[in-house]
Amino acid sequence: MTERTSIVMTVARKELRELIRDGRLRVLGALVVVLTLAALAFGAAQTERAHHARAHAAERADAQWRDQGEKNPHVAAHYGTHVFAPTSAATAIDPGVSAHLGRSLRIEAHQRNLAGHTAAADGSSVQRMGQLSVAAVFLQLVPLLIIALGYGLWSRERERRTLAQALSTGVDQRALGRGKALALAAAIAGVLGPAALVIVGVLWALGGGDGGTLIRVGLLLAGYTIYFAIFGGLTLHASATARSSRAALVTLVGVWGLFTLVLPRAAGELAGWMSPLPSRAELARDVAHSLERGIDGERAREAEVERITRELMAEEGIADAGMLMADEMFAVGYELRAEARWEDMIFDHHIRRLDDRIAAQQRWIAWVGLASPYVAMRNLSAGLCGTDVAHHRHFTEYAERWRKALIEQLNSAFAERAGAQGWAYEAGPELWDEAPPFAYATPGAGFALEAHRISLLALGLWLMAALSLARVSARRIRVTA
Amino acid sequence: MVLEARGLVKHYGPHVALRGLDLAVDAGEVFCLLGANGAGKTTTIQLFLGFIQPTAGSALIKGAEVRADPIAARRHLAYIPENVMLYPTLSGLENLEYFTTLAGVHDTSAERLRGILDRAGLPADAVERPVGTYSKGMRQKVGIAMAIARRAELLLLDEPTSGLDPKASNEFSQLVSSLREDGVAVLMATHDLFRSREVGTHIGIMKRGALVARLDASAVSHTDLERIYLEHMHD
Ligand SMILES: Nc1ncnc2c1ncn2[C@@H]1O[C@H](COP(=O)(O)OP(=O)(O)OP(=O)(O)O)[C@@H](O)[C@H]1O
Ligand SMILES: [Mg+2]
Repeated sequence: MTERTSIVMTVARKELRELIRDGRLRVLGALVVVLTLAALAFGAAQTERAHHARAHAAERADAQWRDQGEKNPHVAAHYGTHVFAPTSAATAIDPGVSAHLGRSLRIEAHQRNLAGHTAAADGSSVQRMGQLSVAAVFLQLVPLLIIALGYGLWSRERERRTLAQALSTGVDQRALGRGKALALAAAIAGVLGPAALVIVGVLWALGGGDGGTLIRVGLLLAGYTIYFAIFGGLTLHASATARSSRAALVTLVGVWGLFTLVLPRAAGELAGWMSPLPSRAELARDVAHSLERGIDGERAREAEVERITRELMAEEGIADAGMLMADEMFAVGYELRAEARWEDMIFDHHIRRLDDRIAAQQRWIAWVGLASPYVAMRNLSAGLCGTDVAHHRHFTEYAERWRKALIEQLNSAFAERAGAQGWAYEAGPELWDEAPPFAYATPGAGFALEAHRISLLALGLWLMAALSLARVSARRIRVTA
Repeated sequence: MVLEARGLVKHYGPHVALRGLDLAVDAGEVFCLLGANGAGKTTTIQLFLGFIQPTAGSALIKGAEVRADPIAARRHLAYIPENVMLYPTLSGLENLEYFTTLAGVHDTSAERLRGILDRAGLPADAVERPVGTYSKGMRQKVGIAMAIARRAELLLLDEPTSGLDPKASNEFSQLVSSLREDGVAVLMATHDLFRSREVGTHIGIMKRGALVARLDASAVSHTDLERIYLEHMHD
């Protein structure tokens, strides 16, 4: 150990001794640990419940589908079914916006779930304040713990004039700064380290032992480490530069409030202003209008469906009108498929536009991360836990592709098998069993990182800024304010 | 010269705290700075510590400008202010260990440090007690122990005995004298004319930021010193 490192260790040990002996670390640390574990218990119980409810409901939907008896395929398409997103164990840490969305979708002919999309937007701009989760404790309370433990690291030494005594020894003030930073990091690690182990254990028990979840949890830990380091750096900087401990504390709590209360709210407002969303009523009206008149409002549904029917037939090499006369149901089948295509085109257009606006909102919120590390980490945290808007969209897009395939299959079966029976034709379990499997898989961690590039950038910049501020203010420390 | 001030000037805004101070202290010398409140004694010491920057002139320690490399300058010195400030929840021994490690002292074994605290006059039963329970004199003694443990070549003392009881003050003087005999250079600001004659080799009287008299401590009687001091204070 070089003399320099031994000095850093000595300083860190002394700071920790003081933190422990004056009782602050014990009291505040215990408080944060208790809240973390309570939040974890709630989150785990909720995830477990959701998991069971989902499994049960999925089973029931599946059974209902298979046991629906003899039915005309298109009628079956109207009855529809439900699909469910897998409940990730990480939801226990950060419920994100998924709590506002639910994770099931109704699948049926002619209809699309518009409410789920608008809810995504509402949920993301809603303040997640007051909702006890591990993420909320980490995002909001741990920074306060860091502030409470660190605000006096420099300023109290200056006030007590131990700083003059320490500097008179000829110690390099950067070594003092490193020791203080190390002590703060060790104190936080001492409080949260054991809690983190419990969290990982609980996730494991909730079935999060697969590689994908482990990578996500690893990244989550790294992300929160960076987040805490940002607050540590800012705290040391404020302590070194403020006129007094009191001023440092007031400044830091003010900055905390700005980061966690004001800017998230402002981000939601900004997003809503830059990329406004239609109300549900407006959206429903627009969709209804487009369904009758086309996206450009200059077409007629009847004519368009007819045109698409002809296109479909041409595609499939059926040009002979005579054959259609012979088999009426054949034509009805094509018409149903054409109708579905028309509706899909209209819905796809409106939903894509809506989703793009929601994505734009998310980007505006992410940019606010450059002003608030809280906003950046909140986005990243929900992303890594798979509970953000991007994951929701990933799921709904898969569900939509599946819906189209299912409806197409049912309508084709109708066209091909009904024959002379016409609308009286009824299919049975053999057709229901042919339904494509709903095999949604949560995307890998890379998807989450990709979706939160801006937040990652913001966190990286904040980390560099906070650490350089802490370093510079340590180098420039003065014995008097 | 261990310590030297050349034309030191220090302004605080419009206020002039030092106006061209010259003084020099060599190894084995104790230079006592006398002067009224506000004469500039603390300012002088702070300049040598590199805690403040001179407006003009230079403060040199072992021939090197303090402002050029304050950390290197501080490596040679030990500083005992009027109130030695320590960490209240740490014991005297822990405080001493901490500050000596910062100073780069290699042997910080508890055994050696206890011996030094004993030499500095700290009662044995106080060594392990939190400093928060110490009297002022006890804290000063920990400060002296730091200076001894560091084997500093230069002591900067700013009214180190103010508030000490006569016995403690006397012990302190003896310690300073024994360190001087070991070849340590000492610059001491004080209001105690009696002590300045007792421990000082040189005495300087400061007034409004400059030295107005220099005396050889061994060549001046206490009565003369008092008379000269008061004469200077009176115009
Ligand atoms: N930070 C400062 N800002 C403005 N003026 C200052 C500052 N520090 C000292 N002074 C002024 O400089 C002058 C010299 O102060 P200094 O503390 O050096 O006096 P001193 O000789 O140590 O006095 P004392 O015997 O009271 O300790 C005083 O007039 C004081 O008011
Ligand atoms: Mg003074």
